[in-house]
Formats: sequence, C-alpha cells, structure tokens
Amino acid sequence: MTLALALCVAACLVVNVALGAIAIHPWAVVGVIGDHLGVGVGGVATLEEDAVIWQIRMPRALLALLVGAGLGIAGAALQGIFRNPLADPGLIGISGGASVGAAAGIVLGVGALGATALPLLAAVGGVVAAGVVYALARHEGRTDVVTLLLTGLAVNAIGAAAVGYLTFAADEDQLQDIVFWMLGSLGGATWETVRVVLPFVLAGLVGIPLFARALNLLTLGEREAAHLGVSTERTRLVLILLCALCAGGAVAAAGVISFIGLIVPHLVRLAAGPDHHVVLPASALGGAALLLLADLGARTLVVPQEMPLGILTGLLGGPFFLWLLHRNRREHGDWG
Amino acid sequence: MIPAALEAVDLSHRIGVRTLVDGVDLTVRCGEVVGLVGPNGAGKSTLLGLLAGDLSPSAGEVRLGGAPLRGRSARSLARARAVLPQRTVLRFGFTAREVVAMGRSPHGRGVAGLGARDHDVVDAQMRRADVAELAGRRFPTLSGGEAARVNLARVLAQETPVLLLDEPTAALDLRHQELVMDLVRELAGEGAAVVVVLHDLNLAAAHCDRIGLMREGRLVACAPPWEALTRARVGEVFDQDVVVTRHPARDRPLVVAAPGVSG
Repeated sequence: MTLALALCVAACLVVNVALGAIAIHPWAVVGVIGDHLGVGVGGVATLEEDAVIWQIRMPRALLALLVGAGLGIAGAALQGIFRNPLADPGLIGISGGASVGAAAGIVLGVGALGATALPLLAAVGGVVAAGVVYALARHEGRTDVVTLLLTGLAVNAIGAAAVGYLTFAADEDQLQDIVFWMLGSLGGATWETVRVVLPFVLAGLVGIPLFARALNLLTLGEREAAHLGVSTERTRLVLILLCALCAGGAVAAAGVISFIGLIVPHLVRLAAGPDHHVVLPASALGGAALLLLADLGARTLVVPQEMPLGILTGLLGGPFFLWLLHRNRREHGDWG
Repeated sequence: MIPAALEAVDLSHRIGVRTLVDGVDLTVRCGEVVGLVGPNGAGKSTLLGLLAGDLSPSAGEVRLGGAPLRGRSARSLARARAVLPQRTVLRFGFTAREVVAMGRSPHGRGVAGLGARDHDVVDAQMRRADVAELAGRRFPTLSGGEAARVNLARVLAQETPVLLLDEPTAALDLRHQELVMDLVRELAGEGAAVVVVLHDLNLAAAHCDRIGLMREGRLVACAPPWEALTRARVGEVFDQDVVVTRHPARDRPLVVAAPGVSG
C-alpha cells in the first residue's frame, strides 16, 4: 500500500511538472530531474524546458508535495488524538490559528528576522489554537464532536477577525502578501520556500509515525491507553505540537488549504484499515498525491488564469465532508 | 503467608467537599478473587480507579506488588496490572483480534511488532473468553456482550499478576456471566489477584473468595461470602430488606430481596 502510494506520488509529481502553459513530455521531465540529481535517466529536454521545469515548476510541485504530506499526516494524527474521524487541522482551528500567526508575521515584518520566522510564527499560532480547542472541547477524557467542531468554528472565527484586523492595519504591499497567501496558493513557490518549509513538515513526517502504536491504543480511550502503558498526557502534548508544526508550516507556505487532512486519512482507512502504522505514512503520501493533482488543476483548469488552490480543495472537500457527516449519522444515529 | 499483590492503606479520595472513597484498607493476595459490591454511587468504581492508578488518592496509598503506585511509569504499571473498563467505545474499525492484540503492547520492545509468542497468547485468550470466532469482525459492529468479552480477552492478553475488572458481566447473558466468572476463578487458580466490581450479589457470592461491601465511600466489610452477606449487613448497606438462603446447588449464600422496604 505504502509502496504503491509512493509510486503514485512520484507519478503525480512528474505529471504535475509536465503539464502547464507549455506542455513538456513526462519523459523529458524525468530526464531533467535526473540531470539535476546527477542520475542519467529519462529523455532530453531543451534549455528552455529545463529552466521551466527546474526553476518554476519543480519548487512548486515539491512545495505541493510537502504541504499535502504535512496536512495529510497531521489530519491522520489529530483524528487519532481526538479519537474522532472528523478532526482536521482546518476544522479544529489549527489552520485558523496558524493564519493569524502568519498574517501577524507579515504585518510585523518578521520576514526580516530570517526566512524561518514566518512559518515559526504560524506554527505558534497553530499550537495556541489547538491548545484552546483541545482544552475547551474535551470533557472527562472524551471529545464530543459537536463541541469540537463548534469550538473549532469559534476559534476560526476569532482567527478570521484577527486576520481581518491585520489586513486593515497592513500597508499596501503587506496587504497584497496577505490576500495572496490567504486564498491558499502555491503560486509563490521558490526553492527558498521549499527549503524553509521542509524542516517543519519533516518534523511531523519523522516524529508523528513514532507514535503509531500509542495512537492505536488511544483509539480505545485515554484511560485504556494509559492502562496499556501509554503516558497519555505527554503523548498528546508532543503529538499536538508536531501536528501544529507540520500544519503551521504548511499554512505559512500555502495559506489555508482545507479538507486535505480530513479526506485523505479517511480514504486510507477505507482502503487499508485503521492501523496507524499504515494510516500515518499512507496519509502523508496520499496528501502529497492529492495536492499535486489539485495544484495541477488549479494551474490548468481556467487557463490563463490560476484558480486559488484553497477554492479547489474546498470544492472537493466540502461535499465529501457532508457525505461523511451523513454516513456518520446513519451508522451511529448521532453526530458523534 | 501468601504475599499481598495489591494493598490499599487508609485510602481516600475527595473531590471538593465530597468524599468518594473514605479510609479504605484492603489487601488482595495472589490467587484470590475479591468482589466489590454496594449500591450505586457507593464508590466502587472510584476505588477501582484508585487501585488502578487512574486517580491519585487524597490520602493514603496503594501498593502494587509491595511497591507504592505513585511515581511508577505507565509502562511498568501496564506490566503489573490490567484493567477492564465498564464500557469501551471505539470509533475506528479495528478488528476484534487487533483489539485483543493491543493487550500485548506493554510487552513489546521498541517499534517491533508482535512476535510469535504474542500471537499465541492473543489466540489463546480469545478462545478463553469465547470470542475466537469474532476475530475478524470489526469492533464497532459487535454487540455489547461480544464487545465486553473481546475487551476481557484484551485484558487477559496483558498477562498481569493483578486484574481489576469493573463489572465484567454487566452486558452479558446468563451463560456468558458464568463463563466469565469461571474464567476469573481459573485465573486466580493460576496465581492472579483479582478485584472485581459486581452488581449481582449472587454472582459475587458464588465466585468470590471475599466480598467487600461498600457504602458511602467506606468499605463496611470485607469477608468470605457467608460472613459478608448476612441479612443484617446487606439490609443496611443496600437499604433494602433481604432474605439470605443457601444456593440449592453450591454451598454459597443466595440473596433475594424481601417484599417491602426495611426501616
């Protein structure tokens, strides 16, 4: 499953890079990537194609891959922590908190402090929001979905208000930055962006799977997990931090891209069962593949315009979420 | 003297002004089944939570295998005692066998999965709890009684010297109530120390070595069935007039409610 998904991600990457205003033969894409990695594979590309691929499309595709993987794995982990299949970095407020952090960063001009300052601030915003939602939505070791979603809604609303105020307070250039970024787009991707986001997403991709066993046990309940030897408090804290880093980094780079963290783990569970040893890596890979495809759609569906990525994932994710709620209610007789 | 597997020393638990468990002393030895009975809200589950280490006592202490509970890691506790909760809600579609296999996790080393011995233990305990045929079923689709027995198999798979069971028979039909309590006896025969919260006095009378009666947070008595379940004591603890007679098929007390309310 994981191997098949990895191949799928590679294929999506090549297709994403190949298609666009100038279509390039996929084999030539493989050739260019091979060239730059010092491996002699694939076809031959012209210098112009090489520049388009390596300077423009490749960083963007890699950023899509990182952001998708980060959101996918964070979603899978959050669903495990909250013991609830409806948790998602966007719905429960992490993305909202992160966007406040990022917008504040833009307005305060923290970019001058170094390229990592902005994603770091976004991650801090994510952690704070997650902490608030977590503290408010839990009652006696259980998380009630309605409370969870409503708390997320409220935190997102507060976040939106804060971002709104920051937009108001921003000057012309900052305003453009904020708006561009809020719509959720990978359009600004450069190798620099990729380098900055990489450690954040990597923290999640490496750190979160270490908790696969604990997440499996947590699905039984917190007390039950503790009885089976999980230090639940520490586990939850570290996991939420990792998710916030991961999702916060993704938000800082690409704006609020909703539903990836919700849809992907679900599809993975449907296909491969609930074991987090599989669900976590597969959600990362699935998220990467889905976002690569979504970004391809965003770039090519309304040529020569570009559709903001957040709109596209919202269009896909909204109906999926409705279907999920419907199914959940039919099977369990309630919203939880 | 058989060593004490689990001891509570002057154990109390208070929340605000309410005292849920009040100065309980209890010693459970290896090979012994101790039943806890009492009216609703008497503090049975709270006492079990204190014994399990879920709750920190306001006063007194719990000793597990001679060493105080406080300060021990979750993992070291998980190898020393297993806890069966009243009810487990699982929203993710793990199979019954996967749930039972989770019981092996305290014995795992690093990130390695289950070994051959772990799989043997899982299969054996599933047969013991009469859930072998449910192995491939998704846990959320099980009936209450089936889920309760799968959970019991999970607790058994933990292979701990101390077992704390919170109403293991509550969701079960008559046959499975007997099956589970026989199993509890069998485990004690193998050297386990078992504390089991029960609602059914006669189930406790038939299968426990000693019965602890709780009322308003206090352990009123803890004695063998014939001594614990006297008409006067049961009447006082439950505030209900009862008749105590002899079980027609076993030398154990049989308690039934008498018409009318005492006092």
